[in-house]
Amino acid sequence: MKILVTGDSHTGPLQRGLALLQRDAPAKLARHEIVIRPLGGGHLLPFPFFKAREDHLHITQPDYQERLKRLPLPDVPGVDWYGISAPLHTARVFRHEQWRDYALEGEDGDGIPVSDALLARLVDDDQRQVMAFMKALAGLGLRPFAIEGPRPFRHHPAVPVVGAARVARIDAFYRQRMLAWLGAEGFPVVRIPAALVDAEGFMVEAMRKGPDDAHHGNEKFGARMIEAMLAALAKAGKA
Amino acid sequence: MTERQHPYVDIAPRSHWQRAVADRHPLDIGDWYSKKFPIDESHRVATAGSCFAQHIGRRLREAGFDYVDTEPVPAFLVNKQSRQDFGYDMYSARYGNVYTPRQWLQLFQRAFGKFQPRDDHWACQDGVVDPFRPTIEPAPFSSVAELRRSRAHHLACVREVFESADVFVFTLGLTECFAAVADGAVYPVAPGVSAGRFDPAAHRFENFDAAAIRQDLLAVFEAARQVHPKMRFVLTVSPVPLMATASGRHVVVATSYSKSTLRAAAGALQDELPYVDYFPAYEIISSPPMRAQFYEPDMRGVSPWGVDHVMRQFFAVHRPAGKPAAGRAGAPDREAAACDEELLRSFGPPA
Repeated sequence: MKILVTGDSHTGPLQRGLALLQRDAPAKLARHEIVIRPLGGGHLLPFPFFKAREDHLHITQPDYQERLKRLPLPDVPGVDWYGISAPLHTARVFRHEQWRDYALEGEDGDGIPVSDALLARLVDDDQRQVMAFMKALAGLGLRPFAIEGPRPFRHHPAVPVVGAARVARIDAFYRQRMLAWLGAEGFPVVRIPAALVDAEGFMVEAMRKGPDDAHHGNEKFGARMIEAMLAALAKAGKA
Repeated sequence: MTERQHPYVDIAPRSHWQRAVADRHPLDIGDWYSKKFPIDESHRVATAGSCFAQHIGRRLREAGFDYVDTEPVPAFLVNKQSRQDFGYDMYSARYGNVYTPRQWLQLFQRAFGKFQPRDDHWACQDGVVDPFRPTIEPAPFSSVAELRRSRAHHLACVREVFESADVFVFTLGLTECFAAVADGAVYPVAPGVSAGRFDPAAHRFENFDAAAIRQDLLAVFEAARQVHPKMRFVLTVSPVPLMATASGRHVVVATSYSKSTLRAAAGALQDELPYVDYFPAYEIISSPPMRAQFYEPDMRGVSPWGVDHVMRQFFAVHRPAGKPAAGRAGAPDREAAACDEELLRSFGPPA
């Protein structure tokens, strides 16, 4: 199976996880070729970053162009699956400190109410371009799938300000909405293994990259996601 | 021979058609308005009204007036269209368009607990909408509880608008509306148009005359000045014609009635009350000397160019000394830097 992975900076842990597996458990990668070519930082994903051409997607975002100019890549032919690390990264929505003044539907307290419709719109605004990107890939006859980004880490600076419960709720709402869309479109999803998520929906501490990084996982996380990816695609291929 | 004496001898040039209009290019017609009282940076300014009032509020904010916004857009709602779709950045609170003085009056009464319409919510798709803000969100509220919580917060914000505004700019839009037979509650949008169900037995058509408009405006002024005794008002009439009329008349004829009625009531109150002024946005856009140049091809919408022209006349008279409102500066994106670092570490620098 030949897989090309692209997307946001969470491709970084995937790349390092892949290197870890190649070093320590190459048998798990036997018969598979995995190429990871990032677009760039996820902060640019909510804005137009590509144009669909007749036979390829042309990356138009200048920063992204430095790493990826088009898909499919002429130097990576015969790809079976295109993994997109982008549709399930929620930090752009939950990280705003101003959430502390608001209240989600069903929460107690006197925060400014935020309706489910507004929360849904935040997700849609955040992912509109990514959704178009995945549909455009599929429109070229390619097979895209989604790779879940990490759940929030407890050490994220938004957590003490906004509150762990609210961060977890926003994260869960976001993922649920995007999972529904991905399911409706028939795009497979590589989920985070349940063992890596605690009871409240946060990443377990062992997956944390380091003290200075609030939202990327480490290479162990990347390796677990690569393994989960191969399992998910094997299942999707049989379906 | 003695000089002729009559009341028009000493009128200002702006009061003389030949000198004010006929001898000028339409865009050179000036001196449309002289203020009754100043509005400057020491005054907190609020707006409400029909859709044209959105432009006025936005321009006042941009020009650096101390604009009252009690329901500011959350920082996490970044998309401009979404801000509009959810009723932010339009008025001093998220009331949406307030088309008639009766609606304005009832908004005040609801905010201060003096009126509670019997119509509480309308079922819509899988949720509910507020009959008095049916389009404030693009999708229905998911539950009655969610709607009521949003409404309670909103009405608290409306109270704050009336408590804090020194000057309230209200744009009169319509004389027509539909009201609940049961209690007279007026709807901004007729039941059944965007949500709800029209029931001829439960809903009645209203087309207010000048006396009713005047009475409702007076009632708002008096009620508001009990909350804030020094509040002053600037009335305008929207130059946007009716989209449709339920009167059975031709829509142009109905528009003429509506605008004339509103204009007459506003003019009478301007003459009558020292704390009420009238700004002639309606005339600047729609009067014959302007040759309909500011209307969009549908002859209803007002072009941004027209809005600019109107507001230039306003700002020629009311100039804030404060700096124009700065755009919302985003916080430095620390996570973007972390992402770049992650990519550099994993993939090296871009080729």
